[in-house]
Formats: sequence, C-alpha cells, structure tokens
Amino acid sequence: MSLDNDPYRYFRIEARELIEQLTQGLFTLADGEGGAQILPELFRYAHTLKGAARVVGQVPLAEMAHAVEDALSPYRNSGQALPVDSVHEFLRLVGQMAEALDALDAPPPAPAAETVSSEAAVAAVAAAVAAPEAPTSEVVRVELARLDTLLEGLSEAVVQLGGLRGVVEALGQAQHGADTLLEQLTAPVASNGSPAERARWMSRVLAVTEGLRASLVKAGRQLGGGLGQVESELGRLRDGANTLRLVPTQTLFGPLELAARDAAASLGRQVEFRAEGGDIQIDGHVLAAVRQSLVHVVRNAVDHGLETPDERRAVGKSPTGLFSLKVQRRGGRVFFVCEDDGRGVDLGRVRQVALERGVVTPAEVDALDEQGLLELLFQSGFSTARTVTEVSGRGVGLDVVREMVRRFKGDVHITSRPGLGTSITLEVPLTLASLEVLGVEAGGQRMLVPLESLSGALHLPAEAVTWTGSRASISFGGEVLPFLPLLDAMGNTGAQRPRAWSVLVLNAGSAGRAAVGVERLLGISRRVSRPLPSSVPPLPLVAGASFDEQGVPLLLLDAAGLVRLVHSGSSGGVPKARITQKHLILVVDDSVTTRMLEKSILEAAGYQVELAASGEEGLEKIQRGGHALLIVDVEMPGMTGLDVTRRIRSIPSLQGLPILMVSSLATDEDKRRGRDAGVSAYIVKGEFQQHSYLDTVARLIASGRRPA
Amino acid sequence: MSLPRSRTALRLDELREGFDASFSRPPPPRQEPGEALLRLRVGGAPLAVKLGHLSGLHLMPRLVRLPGAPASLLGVAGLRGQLIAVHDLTALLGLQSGEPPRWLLLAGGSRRVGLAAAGFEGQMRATPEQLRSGGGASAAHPLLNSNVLLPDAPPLPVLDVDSLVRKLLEDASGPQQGR
Repeated sequence: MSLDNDPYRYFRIEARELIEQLTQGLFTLADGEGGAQILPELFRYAHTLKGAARVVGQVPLAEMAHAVEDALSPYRNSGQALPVDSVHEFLRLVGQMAEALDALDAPPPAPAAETVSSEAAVAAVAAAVAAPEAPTSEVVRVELARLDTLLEGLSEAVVQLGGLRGVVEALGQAQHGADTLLEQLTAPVASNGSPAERARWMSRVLAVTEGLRASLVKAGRQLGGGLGQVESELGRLRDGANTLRLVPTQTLFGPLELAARDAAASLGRQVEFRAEGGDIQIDGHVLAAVRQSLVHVVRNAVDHGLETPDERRAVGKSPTGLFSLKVQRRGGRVFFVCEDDGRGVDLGRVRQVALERGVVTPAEVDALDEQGLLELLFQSGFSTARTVTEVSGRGVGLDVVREMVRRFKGDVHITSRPGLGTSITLEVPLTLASLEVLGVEAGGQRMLVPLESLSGALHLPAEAVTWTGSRASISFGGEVLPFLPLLDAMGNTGAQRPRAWSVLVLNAGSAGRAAVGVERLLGISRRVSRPLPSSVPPLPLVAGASFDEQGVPLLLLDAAGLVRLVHSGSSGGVPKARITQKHLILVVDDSVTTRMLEKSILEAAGYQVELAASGEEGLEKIQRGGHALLIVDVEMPGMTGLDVTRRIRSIPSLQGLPILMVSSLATDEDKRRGRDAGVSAYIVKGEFQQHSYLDTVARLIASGRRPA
Repeated sequence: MSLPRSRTALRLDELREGFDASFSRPPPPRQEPGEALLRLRVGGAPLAVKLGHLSGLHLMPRLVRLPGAPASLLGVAGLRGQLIAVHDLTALLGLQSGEPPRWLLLAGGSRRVGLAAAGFEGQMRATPEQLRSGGGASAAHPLLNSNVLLPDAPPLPVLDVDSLVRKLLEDASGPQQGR
C-alpha cells in the first residue's frame, strides 16, 4: 500500500510509539518512581507527537499533544516533580490521544456524516473491532537483534553460495577434459595407427578420461555439500523471517493498563493492573485484533465489575480493585485470562435486560441456568453498556468480542462468582508460532509433535506393548497408558506389528495422557508453525504445518486431539487407563438388568463390582467400607437413592465417598434434588453412553482418592 | 549562474519527465476480443475455467494427506513457502475418474485455495456471444451452470470458480461452533 492511499502509514507507527512511551513514563511517575528526570523526556515525546500530528493534518491530536506539552512545560523548567494527582489527568489525556489514533485506524465513517445516528456509530466501531482483515497497512515492530541475526544469516548464505564458484571451475576443467577426449577419439591414430601407436593413444585416452572423471567427482562433491549448506541456511532464514511476524504479548500490557486506569479515573474507582505471560509471542496480526477486544474487556471490568472504593470497603475488600491478565500457551492455543475481583455479573440484571431487549422470551429465560444467563452476554444486541455509562458504553458488547475471536477460530468464555469477581477468557489458536518440536516418522511420512505436550519419548521392544485385540497399552512410570500406533491414529490401518516402537507419551492436560508409537524419532528443532489454510475444516489431529528443506509440508500434530483419539480408539472400555489396582464399586439398583449391565461394563473396564438390589442392602454393604464409588438408582422400593445418599452423607467416615446417581429421571429439578442430597454426579439412563459413563466413574474415583 | 533561469527550468522539467517515465507502467497489452479460458480435463470430461478467476496453474507438487479430512480434500502442498490446501475437482463436482490429478489451479485471492485437475488441455478465447450462462436444471452440476458454445463441438461447461471457492471457505468455517 502506498502513501497515496494511506497517508497516515508512518504517522501511525510513530504516534503509537510516542503514546506508548508517554504512557510508560507517566506510569512510572504515578508509581512514585522516576521523578524529575523523566519530565524532559515526556515533554519531548509530546512535542514530537504534536509536530507529527500537524504534518499529517491531525489537528485535534496535535492540540491534545500541545496541551500535554504546555502543562508539562513549567515542571520541566523548574525541575519540580509532577504532583501525583495531575499524573492521572495526563494519563487521561494520553488515553484520549490513543483513542484518536485508533479512530484513524478505523475505516472512514458512513457518508451521511451530519446525521450519524448512534446506531451507525455503534456499527462503525463494531466494524472497526470486528474487521481485522480490512486492508489497513499492518505494521510489526521488530527487535534489531532479530533483524541482525537474519542479516547475518543472509551474509552467511551469500558466502556459502560463493563457495559454489569452485564448482564452476571444476566443471570448466571437466569441459576441457571432454574436449581433449573428443580430440583424441577423432584422431587419425584411433583408426589407422600401428599397434604401438594405438597402445600409446589408448593410455592417453585413459588418462584424459580419468582427469575428466576426477573433475566431475570434485564438482559433484562441492555441489552436493555446498547446496546442502545453502539449503539449510536458507531454511533457517525463512523460519527466522517468519518469526519477524511474531510479537510478544507484553506489548499489550501498556495500552491495557492505560485503558484500565483511564476508565477507573473517570468513574471514581481505583484499579491495580497486573499482567503476566508477556514473553509469549504470537502473530502480530492476531495480537492487534486481540488487543482491541481486550481493551473492551478491561473497560467492561472496571465499569461493571469493580465497585467504588467505599462499596469495596463496606464488603471488606481492599479499596483498590484488581484486574489481572494472564497470557498462557496451552498446546496450539493462547489463552488471555482476564480476571477482576469485583462484584461479579448481576444475573438478575442480565435476565431483565435480556427480556427488555427481546433477546430471549420469558419462557426461555426461565429455562436458563447460571452459565446460560452468562452466555446471553455474548448474544448479538445484548449490551448493558450501551446505555449505562460512557466508559464501556461504546455499544461494543461482548458479542463483538466473540465475533472477533471466532474470526481467528478462537472463542470467549465467561465465569462469574457473585461478590468475588468475573473471569473472561479469550482463546485464540496460534496462527504462527515458533515452537520446539520433535520430528517423528511414521509410514514414511515425517511429522512434528510439540515438545511442550510431550511427557517422554522412549524405545520399547515389541513385547512391552500389551495387545488385547486391536487395543494396546504400555506401562510408563507406574501408569498404564493406552497406546496406538500413530499410523493407525491417522487412519492407515494394517500397520505392521509386532515390532520395536519409538513411543511418545503425550500429555494433553485435562484430556489426560496417552502413548503413540512411531517408527523413528528424528530429533528436536525449533520450527515456525503456520495454520492450515482457510478452506480446510477443523481437524482434531492437526494443529498446523511447517515445511521441510524441500518445501514439502510437515504436519504439526495436535496432542490433545491425539490423546482423545487414543483413548476412544484403543480403550473402548478403559477410560483413563489409570486402573493399576482394582477399585471396588458398589452398584445399587432394583432392576437386575441394569445391575448386570453396569457390572459387565465396569468389569470390562477393570473395576471390581459389588451389587445390591435395594437401598437397605446397599447401605448395609457400603458401611463395611473399602468402596471407591457408589452407583445408585433413584427410584427403588423402600429406601430411594436419595434416602441412601442422605444417610451416607450423615456418616462422617463416608462423607467423602463419591456417589454417582443413575436414573431415568431427567428434569433439572430431579438433578437439583440429587445435588441437594449430596450426590457427586448424575447420569440419566436415557442418555446412557458407555464412554461418558466410564469417564464419569474414573473422574469420581480420582476425586475421591484425594484426602478429604 | 551559467544558464538563464528559464533554461534551467526546462532542463529540470526534462529530467523530471525522464525520471518519471522510467517508473511509468508499460502500456497495457492490447485486449484480444473475448475472455480467456483454460480447458481442463476433470473426471474424464472437458471443462473450462475462466483465466481471470485463477491466480496460478502449476504441475501438482507433492501432496501431504491430512488425517480426518473429507475425501475431496486431497491434502496440503507447499508452493513458494505458502501452504495450499488442494481440493479434488472430480470429487467436488460429484464425478468419478481413475486419473490422478496432475495439475494444480490456484484460486481465491488472498485466501488461496488449490483445485486439482487431471489434465490441462490448453487455452482458448470465447466471445460474450459464445459464453452462455444458465444451463438451468440441465446442467450436470450447479457449479457448471454456464457453457461455451463452439462450432462443431458439444457445449463446454464452465466451472463457477468463485462460487466453488466461497462454498469451500464457508464449509470449512461452519461447524466450528460446537467445539
């Protein structure tokens, strides 16, 4: 894009940099550090910004910069420190400048400018937030050191290419040799010389041919070695150039802190901003979009989440509210976890606003649980902010935030606890990431596994893998893990076995652990992974791709997807493969069919099962002890499941016992009654599925093992 | 000053023009009548694609299969450092052929989409009169809704590349919600 169709191209970069520097300097002053020596710098930033804004005809911005410059002037001259109170005023002004600059990034307003309705303004801002693909000139700032490394690499590649000159020389010799050979072969002596002449001729021919061969061998050797070096150097350069697109998330923190303080100052609140995970790097393109969304989340939090200092004191909280941003990388995704310690979401108000705006009908709203109500905040057209205040009331609700992250195949989640705060998590996939990977080979294909999701890699003889039909398991660190050859996981059945395996133990966090077998491990390297093209539907096993030396794609495998597949593909019965000792489960059900069905499923999964046909019998057996879990039916003659549960919960030694209620009852009211009685989980017979059932059983047993 | 001011100005204009001219674009190529089309072979049958809808035509590079992908998605390939998803035209148009895809067509602007065809049979031009849209219900596939009418030959179906690319991109982003 030329300067003609984007006159602000360079101004934007400079102004953003200056505003960031102003912000940082003011923060330092606000925290009571720095003192008088920072003032001249701040003055200079404001002055430069003013000049730059005037050059591009941005009069309002220039005037704001001028105001800052003017106000700083007396302190700069006198050497006095800036009063902390006025720092906030300066921060507010700088915040306004940042907004004016953001507005410059936004597409031009709708043509009917004189009567722009608030709806149109809302739409324009929403479009600005939600349209990161608009053809603005995006800019990434790059550390000089990274650029230097790249330039060094380029010089190295040039030197190595120079080394290939020797090949030209060797080929020249070879050509000369070939000419001489031709000359010899067409010499008269070849056809009509005497035997002695012919013998001498033959030895000359042999010598020339030998020389020709030597020249070619030399050229080949030089070419082979040199090309290999140039190739790998250029490959490194390509990866290095790709990482130039990556920006540390740290660059978000300044503008967000500014937004938080700005909002707090104008609303009479106090806020402390904490951030961590700034060293994580993501694609500048994604970060720019995430930044705008996070600004709205921050403003929302200060505006609707945090209470006033008096209100906070009254409920025993510190008068200064806390807003924290944690950036975390898990697998192929980056999470921006935003938490405040405010009042939490007022669900009553959400319900009321949803009804007023016609987002839901009264019948629908009654059917919603807490999470359902929170989800309403993401519905299009739902924004309490629109009418409430000026701070977050830009008409940009969480719906736009979600729409933006979904553009990048990400998502937003919200949880809230009354009186304790709200947590909003933005989750985006790493579109371009520099990460350490282990190269593996399966079925002749090379693939990559992210190192961060690897618990271990080991070589196992064929007999270390225990096969039961098509399922297999291995033992790793005292744990039995389901195992699947990677080729099988990728849909190529009929892989040869038994054989020795290179085994990868994958740890996918909440998805658990599993092992996959490959033919060879190819070593660890750092690679730049890119997303699969837009026309590829989401694939559970592939997180992205990189390129090999020949430019052929190398798939980056998704550990979580693989672990889930191995669990479902190889276990059938064993959900988490954690059953090294047999847990005893008591099943209480008056129906013999249900009892026997559950018994067979549980036993196939490796549990030991005891049965009881009535609540009374169950209660008697459970008190003998030794059970890891009670599975109980609700409706039974005599003591019902709820009665049994209540009785068990009244016995101190059994209060920690997990209880799974299985029933044909399905209403929320039934579930609530179960919960009230002390049931740990509830499974409805109509929705009975072996996997979720066994998953629940395994989860409950694991939770019950924790000391109460 | 050795030169009168007006001559300096003239000389400056001359230099400026020369400088500007060195950057000016070459004259646009003379437009030949009609629209350029590529003639391909897909599913054993001929098919045309408007050249203006494509950004490249390459011999098929090495493909890497994607586990869990639909059958019509042959895999991904690397092309000058770009990752391209390659979709099989034969399968997308509901045709059948034992012929391996040898050609890769690039379409879709910035969000590049690769389309695989078995054969590339040449280039042709068609006048607006020869291009007829709206085969209606008689079209073999909704994406083959227009034809090139050539003398002494059966109508040659023209693939609606833009609609196909749009559909592929929409389908790929569709079922994301339930994650």
